[in-house]
Amino acid sequence: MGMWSKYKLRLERKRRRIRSLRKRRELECVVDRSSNTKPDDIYLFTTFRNEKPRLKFFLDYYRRLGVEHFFCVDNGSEDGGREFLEQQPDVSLWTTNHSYKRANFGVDWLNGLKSKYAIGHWVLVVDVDEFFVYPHCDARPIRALTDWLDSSSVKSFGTVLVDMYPRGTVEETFCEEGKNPMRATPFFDSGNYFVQRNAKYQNLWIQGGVRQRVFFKDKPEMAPALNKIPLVKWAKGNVFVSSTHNVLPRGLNLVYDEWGGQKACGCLMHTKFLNSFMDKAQEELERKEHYAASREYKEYATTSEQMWTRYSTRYKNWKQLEDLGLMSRGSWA
Amino acid sequence: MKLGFIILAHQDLHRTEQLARFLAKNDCPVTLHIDLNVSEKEMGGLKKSLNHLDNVTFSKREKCGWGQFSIVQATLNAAETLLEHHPDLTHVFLASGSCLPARPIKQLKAFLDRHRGIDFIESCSIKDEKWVKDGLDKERFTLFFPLSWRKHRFAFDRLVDMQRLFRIKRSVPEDISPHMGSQWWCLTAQTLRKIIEDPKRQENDHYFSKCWIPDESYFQSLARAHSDHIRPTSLTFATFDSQGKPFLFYDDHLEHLPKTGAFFIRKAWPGAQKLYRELLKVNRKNFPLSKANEMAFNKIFDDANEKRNFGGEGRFLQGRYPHDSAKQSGVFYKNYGIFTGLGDLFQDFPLCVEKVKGINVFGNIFARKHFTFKKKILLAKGNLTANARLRNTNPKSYLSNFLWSQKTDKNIGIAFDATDMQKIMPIITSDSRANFVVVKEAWLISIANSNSKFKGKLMRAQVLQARERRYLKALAKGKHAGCTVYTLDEALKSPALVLQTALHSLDVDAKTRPIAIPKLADISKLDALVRKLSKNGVSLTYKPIKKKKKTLESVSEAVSRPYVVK
Repeated sequence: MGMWSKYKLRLERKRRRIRSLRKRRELECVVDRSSNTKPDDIYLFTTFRNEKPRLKFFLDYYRRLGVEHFFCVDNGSEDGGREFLEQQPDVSLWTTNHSYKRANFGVDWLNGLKSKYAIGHWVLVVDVDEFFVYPHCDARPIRALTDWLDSSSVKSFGTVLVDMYPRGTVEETFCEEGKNPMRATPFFDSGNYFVQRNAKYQNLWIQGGVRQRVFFKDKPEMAPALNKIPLVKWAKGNVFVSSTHNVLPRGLNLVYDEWGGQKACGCLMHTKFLNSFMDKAQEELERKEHYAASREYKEYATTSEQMWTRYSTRYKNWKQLEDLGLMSRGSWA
Repeated sequence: MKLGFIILAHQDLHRTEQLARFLAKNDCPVTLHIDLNVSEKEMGGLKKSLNHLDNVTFSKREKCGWGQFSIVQATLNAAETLLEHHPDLTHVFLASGSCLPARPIKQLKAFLDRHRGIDFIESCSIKDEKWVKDGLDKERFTLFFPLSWRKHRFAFDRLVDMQRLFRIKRSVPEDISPHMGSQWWCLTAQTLRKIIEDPKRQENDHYFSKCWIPDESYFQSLARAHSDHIRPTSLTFATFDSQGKPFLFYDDHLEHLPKTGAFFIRKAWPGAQKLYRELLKVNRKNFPLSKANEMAFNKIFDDANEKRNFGGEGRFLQGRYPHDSAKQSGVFYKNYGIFTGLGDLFQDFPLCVEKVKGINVFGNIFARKHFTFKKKILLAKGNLTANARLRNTNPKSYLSNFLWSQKTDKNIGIAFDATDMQKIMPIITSDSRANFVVVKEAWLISIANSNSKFKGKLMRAQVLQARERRYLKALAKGKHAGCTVYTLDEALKSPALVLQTALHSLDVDAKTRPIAIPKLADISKLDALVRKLSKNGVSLTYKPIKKKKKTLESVSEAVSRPYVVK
């Protein structure tokens, strides 16, 4: 990569940063408890809209892993999710009715908040339907992982997004508030992931899983990206580019080994396909606030095929994911 | 016997405090060396919380730098303090602030009592053993190292280069034979005292202060000079990953600890609540040394290094995406076969080899438009669909997914023809795990058996011949893949050999096993077709046998009686 393209990336990073600072002004603070945090706390950043039933379990899951503070952006929820989060002692909350799409699908808002609050912290950026699974996550908190990454001078941690689905139809799959959605949608695809290198940002571009298999079988190249880098030691000037798929400066995207070994990496279990999803798909289609003209949601609304097959795998634990080659402990024994 | 401890600490002092208190309660005098980089406030807190224990002392503090003599100086200071306060000690154990006792202290004491007068210090002579995994070895003793590697990495490396260039060589003092080993030891007070009170101490210190990583050589070398009863093992388990970082211990390692042969482990993650709680319990049970299984214990860490450096072969995902030039950049972790023309040669291939033990052959998964994995099977393990569009977007990942998900002990072969999608060829031919078995011009058989008119057959033959030429050219270009090519003549003469080769390419034992040869395809119309094609200007390597009658006889024989070959 030449000097010019390097410089272009630098300009892009600066542009995105300035944009995020501008977009941050769209946010209205509901409650800011960030002054209660310690200098090395692990932060989680998320945006949501009408996700009330998921919030309780989401907070519990990440609290148990050792996240110390949650920074949430509410994009015009009407189901009481905002009020619920406002009551939580470890949540700082912002709200906005501005366009999700024009804030680069929420990335600008979160980038803006991170540059204000998260510099020097490890930050986890996930959606409320994504659950972070990393090596030894049953026995070691996230801090064990971040300490180990710190001692290895590594500043980012890669994952692959694993779409989970139920055995029956999505309409009949319910998950009560506070219950584990990974139990309601326990299946995933273990061996259909397609990887290529993104030359511009040097991240891997992964597609596959159930969404490509069922919803994008006629145009597989359009399937959503599954590569995510949700855990980053945030430094001044860092920006996520598109969701958490890639981050600048692009050295942070090198979460993979290129010389025949493998680095430690994890999975994000994606529990999108619950009963609430169908209404959401319909609503999102009307709002047109999602990526690539809500292409994904158009597919969901028109396909009614069953996702489960006899080769679907039921999720057990991280060791199973490691055996299937979806993640690895690397040298973190 | 009386055992004392030296503890070197520079961070997470609350854990150090716990350890010191535990040791002191077990009737072991402790001297703490706290790095001068630790703030006075923290130091004050530590002192305050430990000052009610009268057998805990603090030594003169040094500013320690990794790989520098200051660490040795700190150890010497602490040893002096400890021996001064407790002249009755018989053994001194050097531990770090992040060490934990893997076995109860009373077990350690009993062990030392059984081995009276023995110094436990790993010390390997640089002459005959290679202790250093990576980095400088003998040069640690013969070059000058005034700079810190951590702080001035570039200057450090250039300085080493310069000294090599000018062949600078320090002379090693006469009485010292350089030895290296783990920093953590347990010496008898007698040996330690001799080292401290060595009349040549100043000289020794001066020499080692310019050596590289003297904490791994100072005591290791000098103990050799002062003691005849050295057992060159460390009682502290410490191991390093391939980046040179020590492996950390976490709560989930607790169950494995009885397997270690050591008495202490280094180092524990400061957040490992359960580990600290359990290992620093007052009434711990002994883990009998006879039940230790060090091989199994080390395996945990060796496996992790193995995983990091060589793991996941054949899988491309977020943690691993090797360059094409990297080692192990292939699509599978074991050998696999690519069979060309076997489908034309045998009836019902690949189903006909289903019964053969230890092998699993799939259909043309790279066929251009429509394909199946096996007859009518459109979904493979791992939920990979037989979808040509999907495959064409990324054939390399497709193949790797397909092979990975099979995950059986069986060897895998794939039918692949010159008419299939050739985009995958460079990937397979440069893969040393791929083995091609090709029957040239086998397509003649299918053309001969097709119902189309001769004109159509002729065109088809021309097309296939051109494709095959291109295919063989690509195959010849491939550097690493194994490759066996048979002409149709050879294949028809000994179809068993073709199949044997195909199996043998996957599994070395296959050759010794007898197998049933599947039925050959119908070749009765082959010779007539070939003659006609030759007349029309298609030049083929396959030559029809002149006497028509005899051919038919021999063929019918082969068809009617599948035979067994050993």
